[in-house]
Amino acid sequence: MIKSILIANRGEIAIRIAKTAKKMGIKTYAFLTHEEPNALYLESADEIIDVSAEKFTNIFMDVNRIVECAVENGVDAIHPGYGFLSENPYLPMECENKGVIFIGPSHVHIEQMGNKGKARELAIKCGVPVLQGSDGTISTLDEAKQVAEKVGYPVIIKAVAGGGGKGMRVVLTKDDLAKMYKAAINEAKSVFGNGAVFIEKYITKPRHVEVQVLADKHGNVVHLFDRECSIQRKHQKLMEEAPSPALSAEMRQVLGNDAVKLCQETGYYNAGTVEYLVEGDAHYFMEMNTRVQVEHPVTEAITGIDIIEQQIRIAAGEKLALKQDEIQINGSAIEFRVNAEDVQADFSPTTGIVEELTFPEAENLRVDSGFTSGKVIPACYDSLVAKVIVTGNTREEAVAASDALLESVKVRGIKTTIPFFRKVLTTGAFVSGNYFTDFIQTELDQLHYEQPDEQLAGAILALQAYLEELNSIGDSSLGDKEMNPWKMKQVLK
Amino acid sequence: MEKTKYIVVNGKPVSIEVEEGKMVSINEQASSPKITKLSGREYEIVLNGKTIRGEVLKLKQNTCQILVNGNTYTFNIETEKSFKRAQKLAETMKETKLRLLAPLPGVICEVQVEKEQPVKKGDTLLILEAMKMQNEILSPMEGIITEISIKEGENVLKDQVLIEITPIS
Repeated sequence: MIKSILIANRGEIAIRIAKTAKKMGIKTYAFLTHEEPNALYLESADEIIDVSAEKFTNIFMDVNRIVECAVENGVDAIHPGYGFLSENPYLPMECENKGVIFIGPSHVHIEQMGNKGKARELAIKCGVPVLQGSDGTISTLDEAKQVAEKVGYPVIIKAVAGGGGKGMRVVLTKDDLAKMYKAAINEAKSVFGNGAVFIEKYITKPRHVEVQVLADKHGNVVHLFDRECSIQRKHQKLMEEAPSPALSAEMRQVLGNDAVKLCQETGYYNAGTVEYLVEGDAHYFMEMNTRVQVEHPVTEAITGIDIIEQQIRIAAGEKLALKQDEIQINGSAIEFRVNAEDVQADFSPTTGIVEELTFPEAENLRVDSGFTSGKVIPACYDSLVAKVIVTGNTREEAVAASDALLESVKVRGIKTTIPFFRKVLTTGAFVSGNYFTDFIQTELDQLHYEQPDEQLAGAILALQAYLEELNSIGDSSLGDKEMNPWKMKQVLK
Repeated sequence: MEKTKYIVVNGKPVSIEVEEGKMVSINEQASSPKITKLSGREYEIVLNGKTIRGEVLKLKQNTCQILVNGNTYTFNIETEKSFKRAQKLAETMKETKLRLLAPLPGVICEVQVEKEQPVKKGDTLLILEAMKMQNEILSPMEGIITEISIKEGENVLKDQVLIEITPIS
């Protein structure tokens, strides 16, 4: 039994975990850090562990300190959320050493799947299709040349330790191979401390489709169908939908079964995600994520299953109560990641005070937000502010409802990715469901939605504000003055 | 009646004539947009039969920042005389060197230029990792790199000087 959980994360996912824990009658603990002493997630936890005096450490990356805090407070289990240490094998290892339950897989599974080379070999062993490529890692340029010739250009060189879109180099032609091979190894060494790489065939126009799985410690595995995540910039997802509009009923079954097979063969337990590249009716294993994903709500929306609850039950050693034939797809859901980013400046991050953040309320809308009005977005974490999940009985219905809902989100103080989503929602390739990972580069003429004449209206409004200001000069209402008192000292001298 | 002509600039200049505090022409065509104040800083404008909502984010001297549909635009409000002055100033500014500052605190991942290297507007100068994103820092002008004040792997603070570019004269 798990009676208390230490949430080793922040932002919306910390709030998300606390919500399910509360529902299950589990007490939650959260970290108060010096970076975000007034963060919203602190309000969702039952108990606060104040580590704000530790100004030189990032608690969310400190395995020993996290487990130490769990032990000191007599907490039963640790939930890592996503990012930070969620896929670091040392956290479950240290948990095991100190007798704390880790809500996730064993360190062995994290190591297997965290190494892209090993994961690929496992997939081959389990009979899950992979892209044509090298047998194991590549150690010389000659070997790289041979493999590239065999599979044909373009190819991709991947660091075995890579992740999050890093440690990959695409080689379009033979002439680039030597340069890219060197660059990939150097990057892998400097970023991941492991220079091992392998080569795969590169698909130029794939779709990114992933399958959500749940596996318990007793060998039971089910899948919760698929998610489409092809809308990405720099290999980071921005929007996801479930189910994928790309799959036929047969393919859906094949992708799901392959994901289940991979978990069964490896004895995996926890929630997990098997990612594939899909081209036409072929699918290829890409990697497996051994944590809860940012985009898990779209799967929850169509299956009605609380994935965090399942993670907790699995960690506690319970048997899965879900049977594959009882899990159905019900409707369609789209998630929009509202990030603090300036889309007009090519998605550059923005920070600062969220002056206002209000979401509409509707039955077809779920909002998982890490912030409210008055909170501050710090520069030291990622840019995710909130996730807006829109559901419909059909995909058409969800797409049609999304624009009006996004338009009525009120945000002031920061810029967000909402103008980008409104642009996507008016783009034919997205509306028809026929889009690929190169969507942003090939389908959009500009990154943000713009209403006709909005710039002209802006100019008129700017002049209006200026004229109003001119008129109000001499008005008694202009009584507010600001002055720096140090200045007065200067004047008085 | 005396008309005052204003030129509102954000890239493309828009000329607007004002008579007795009301706008009467836009880009030399008679037009009186209907402007309704919704709340403190929010307005609704009816223009060419379309309703557009906008918000005044900031007004300082003659610079005004406007938010429309989540997009921001910064306008300078000029009279005909000050517009000419601004244009002249812009000409001169083209010949002054530019120090590029860090827009956010972060880590320099990659410096893609060398000292004395000529760059064009839009060339990638360096990559700054901030908020888990690799951000390309592009050259805002054509010129020669005259100073590189940072190294790969270095942590930088907001507004720290990164690179100095001198225009080719």
